[in-house]
Amino acid sequence: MAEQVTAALVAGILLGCLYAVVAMGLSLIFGIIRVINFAHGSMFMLFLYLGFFLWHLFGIDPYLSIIIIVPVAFAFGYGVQYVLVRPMFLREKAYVLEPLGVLLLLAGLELVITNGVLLGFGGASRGIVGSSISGVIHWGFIIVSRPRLIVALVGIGLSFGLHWLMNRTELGNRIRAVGQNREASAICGINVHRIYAITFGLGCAVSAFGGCAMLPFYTLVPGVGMGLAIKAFIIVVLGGLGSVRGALLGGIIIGVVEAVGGQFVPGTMAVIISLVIFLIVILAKPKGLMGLIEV
Amino acid sequence: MKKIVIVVAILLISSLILGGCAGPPEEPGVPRVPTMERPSEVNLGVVTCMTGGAAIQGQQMALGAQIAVDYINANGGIKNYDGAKLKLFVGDNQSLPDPGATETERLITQEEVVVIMGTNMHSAPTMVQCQKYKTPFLGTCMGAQIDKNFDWVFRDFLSIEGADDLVFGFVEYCTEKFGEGPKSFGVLNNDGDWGLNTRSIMRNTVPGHGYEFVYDDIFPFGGVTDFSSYLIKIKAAKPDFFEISMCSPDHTYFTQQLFDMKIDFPYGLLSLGCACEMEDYYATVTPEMVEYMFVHEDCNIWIKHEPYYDYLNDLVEAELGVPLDAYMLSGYSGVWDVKDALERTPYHHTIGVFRSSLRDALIETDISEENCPDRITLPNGATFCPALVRGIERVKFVHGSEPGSKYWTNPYNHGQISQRINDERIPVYPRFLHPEGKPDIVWPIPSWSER
Repeated sequence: MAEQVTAALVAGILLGCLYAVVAMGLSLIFGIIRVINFAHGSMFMLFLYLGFFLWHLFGIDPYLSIIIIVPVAFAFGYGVQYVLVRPMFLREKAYVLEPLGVLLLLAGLELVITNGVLLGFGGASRGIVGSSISGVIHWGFIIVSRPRLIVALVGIGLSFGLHWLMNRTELGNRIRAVGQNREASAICGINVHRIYAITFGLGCAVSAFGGCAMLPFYTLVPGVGMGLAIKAFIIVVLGGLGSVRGALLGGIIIGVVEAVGGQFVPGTMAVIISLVIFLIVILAKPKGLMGLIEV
Repeated sequence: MKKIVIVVAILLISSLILGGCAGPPEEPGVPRVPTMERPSEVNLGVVTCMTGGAAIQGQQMALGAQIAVDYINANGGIKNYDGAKLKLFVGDNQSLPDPGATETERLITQEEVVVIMGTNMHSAPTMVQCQKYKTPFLGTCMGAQIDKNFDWVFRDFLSIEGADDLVFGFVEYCTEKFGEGPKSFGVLNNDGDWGLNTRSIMRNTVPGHGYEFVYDDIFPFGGVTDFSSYLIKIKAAKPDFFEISMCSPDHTYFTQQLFDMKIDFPYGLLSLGCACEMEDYYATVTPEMVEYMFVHEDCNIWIKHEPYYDYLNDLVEAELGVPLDAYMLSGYSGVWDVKDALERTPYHHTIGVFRSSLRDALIETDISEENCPDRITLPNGATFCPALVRGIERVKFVHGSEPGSKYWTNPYNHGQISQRINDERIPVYPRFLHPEGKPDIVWPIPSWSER
């Protein structure tokens, strides 16, 4: 039984890192712009499809496609914020922290992207078979898939990279300042909407980076992003709004509870247990585990 | 008193006069079709997954139904109503339970469809609405358990109870033929209506067949990206024979990770269909991952050798870009079942009466190769019965096997078990389906290290 639980613990950490990879981009957008990006899942799916077609049409390995997809994703996110979301903020006459219209707009964008992909590419499952890295690593009774291990390393790397960006760079200072107080930042001369656009772009780029790492084993269908996005919302709130390291921690907690709990109760019950833990943490610590902003 | 007698007399005389104005009594067995009230169109409904996780299956089902409707309309419509055309309305349940209920209600109350067909997923809400509005529901692809009081529900699809009969029949056949077989079973089912129903039946039947039930779990349907924790538990349980119910993308993750972890099931892995009945699933896995896997197929997978394959496959590929499969055929044959019944249904301008008459006609359905009023002739002169394209011998409805059941089911729709051998799905059970000259059942299954 000890071996079984240990193996499940390792599987849970890997799964948690995968969740965190999806959640980090959302955490940035959610924490800084204070907008729940309902289109996060569909955008993530869109980047995955882009990576798939780069492999399918041009034979570009998903790990290599990062250098193409990440800039595209940044530009896409920047464009969405600047062209679609910014006018909604500007339209508000009074100071509104989270305009309701933006939520509806992004929910609508989610429908447009998901159904657009369904219309354009059909509902068939797609997946990359035979990427450059595959197979498993055996550590005694523990078996780890190499592509999934890479995702976990990417998740850890991204969390440290983003933490450095946010805390050690001028851009990070500005982003955090806007996240803490939009009006005060504007008074200090920070172009708030430019920072919002950069943050949105950064959130998308982070998701795209993680998505490319997931492509070698991930199966694509147009609705693939929604399930992950819901889990990402939970992780973001659990870890703390705006905290990328919180997203990593939240993801690992959820992943470990699901995997280890699943050894003792049915799989669906393990998911419920992870949600109960989430509720307990939020009740005890409304800012989340590592967040700056109260939910 | 005198006045009362006069009034009664007037009433009696009036009733006699009015009675004399009525037409002759109907001859028994002759459909009553009012000559002045024939429809120009008959509305049919399909509720299925047009969007969401099971969209690829649902879209094919709807396309199959539309292909059949187009053909019927182009070839004289419903002759019983002087060539009335069929009009198809499609409701999208978004691969979720709740939208299925509202979409079914919309088709019944607003579009006034006479029958609902469907659904490739989440059929329970649709059944409930059809029963509530007394509209026939013809399930040509459904996994949900049917309430035994649902007398407006017709299942022209293999029943889960029947599927389990097939599974145990197959395992017992192999055990007898090869002199060895499993002692323990494990099952992993999705938490949709199909999976939960399968799970419930397996929990009740596995011990009854003398097998030890060593693993039984459920997973969130479409919500798992990593089956590692399940596989760790399965590995510890060591089942001899394993059964799963999964669609895409769950099935792909499970297959890939099972291959990575090299967990052996000595007498095989049986998938109950869905994902592994579709070609797109096989494009997401490698051949060695699925070699020797058993699949419970909903329809005849040897259809490629049927004369009508090219005709139907070309239509599907042109529209959806994917090859013909079971889901398209379920939508297609369902419309032909309904067409057959409409030809025997007296029209009535009151929709409720019309639906009730159609239900009566569906109950009387009996289509077979020998008794197929609607045959299609192909350019090469070959003919086929479109209601039987899924490889079933007959369409005839009887009450469900549960005591007191009022719903209707087609016992001739049994499905088949295939095995993947040398990168090809080969029908292996029931035995008469095994094609000559093709490899036969591999049993026991070689371990991963021996392959």
